[in-house]
Amino acid sequence: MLNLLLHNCNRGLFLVLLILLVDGVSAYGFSVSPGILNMDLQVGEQQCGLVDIYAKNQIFSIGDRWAYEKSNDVSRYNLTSFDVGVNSIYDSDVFIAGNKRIKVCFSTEKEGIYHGILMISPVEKNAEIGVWVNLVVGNLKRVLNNSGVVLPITVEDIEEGSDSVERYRLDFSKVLFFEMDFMFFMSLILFFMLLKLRKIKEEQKGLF
Amino acid sequence: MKMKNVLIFIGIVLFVVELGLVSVFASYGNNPISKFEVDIYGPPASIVNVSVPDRVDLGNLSYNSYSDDVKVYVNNTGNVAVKIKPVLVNNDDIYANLYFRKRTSGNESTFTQIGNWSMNISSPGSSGVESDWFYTRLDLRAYTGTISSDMLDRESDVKFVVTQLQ
Repeated sequence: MLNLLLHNCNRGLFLVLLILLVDGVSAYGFSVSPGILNMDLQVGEQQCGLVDIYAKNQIFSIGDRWAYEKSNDVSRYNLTSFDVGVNSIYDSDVFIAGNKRIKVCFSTEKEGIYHGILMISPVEKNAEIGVWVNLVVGNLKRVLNNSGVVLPITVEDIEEGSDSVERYRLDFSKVLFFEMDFMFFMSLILFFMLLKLRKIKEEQKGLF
Repeated sequence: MKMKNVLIFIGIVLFVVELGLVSVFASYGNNPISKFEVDIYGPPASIVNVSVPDRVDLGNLSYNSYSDDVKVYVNNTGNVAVKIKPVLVNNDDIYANLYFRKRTSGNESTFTQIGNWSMNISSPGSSGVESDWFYTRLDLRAYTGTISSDMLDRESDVKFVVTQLQ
């Protein structure tokens, strides 16, 4: 009985050691979605995006960094939102147990294209996920060329283009209405001409 | 009589033209075209998820030498290609000499100092996991500080910054 107990104890101890050993080389991961936030907004307008974070019980700190030029290197994003004139609103510390949706809002007082990164960091872990933030503020539309560079195009240009298409679009109801009017007047003229003809004939009969 | 015939002819022509035009425009409104309708959903939201090891043991090294290369595995379990960049959390003059390379031969085999090195991991396929690895070593040959005594279990925090490739 004692041997059996000792045997079970050894087996338990072995399992605990195994778990500790496995834990020592374990990996940590968490998810963030989406990886990029693109927003088109007007000057002074506040727009919000949603970011989902999936993680086991963990406290996260959230912060944003900005750069004057777009880059894939996070170390180039070393300006604060104040430096670039962006007002950012979000909870800077959140506790995630499973899944949580974070609302992040941005607004600016100047037109332009702003490039930032929202850093989501578990407080006690060694990984950090960055969500790219691209703000297009004002009468600009975001057009990406093949190299990924943002090309600004004014809204006026786009509207002019669409007007030119509208200009040549045929409105069949208007054509039909015009055609009916035309036919009505032609019939009226024909009617009066026939009356005139009859009158002439009657006058001719009277003469004879 | 001749004038009357001309007028009647013009009237008949106008009537026929009218009938033709009306039938054409009427058919425009009731033409046999079916409206097809479909709901198209955009691509799924990108998910960034990378697993990195909690701990990397670089072994033993002397003050004027470099450690063995340690192979470190990372897994991309999201749905997009990602970039991983290790950065030092705190200023540490010893660990500032940490070097990385992705492969032992080929284009990506040159060791690059922490802060300047990053690697891309492609999007996972149908398996849902894209495993990749890199090599790291601590190289103290260029270290200019003073190591006057043994530094056992010297640790420093290295954070892996993960971003979606854009």
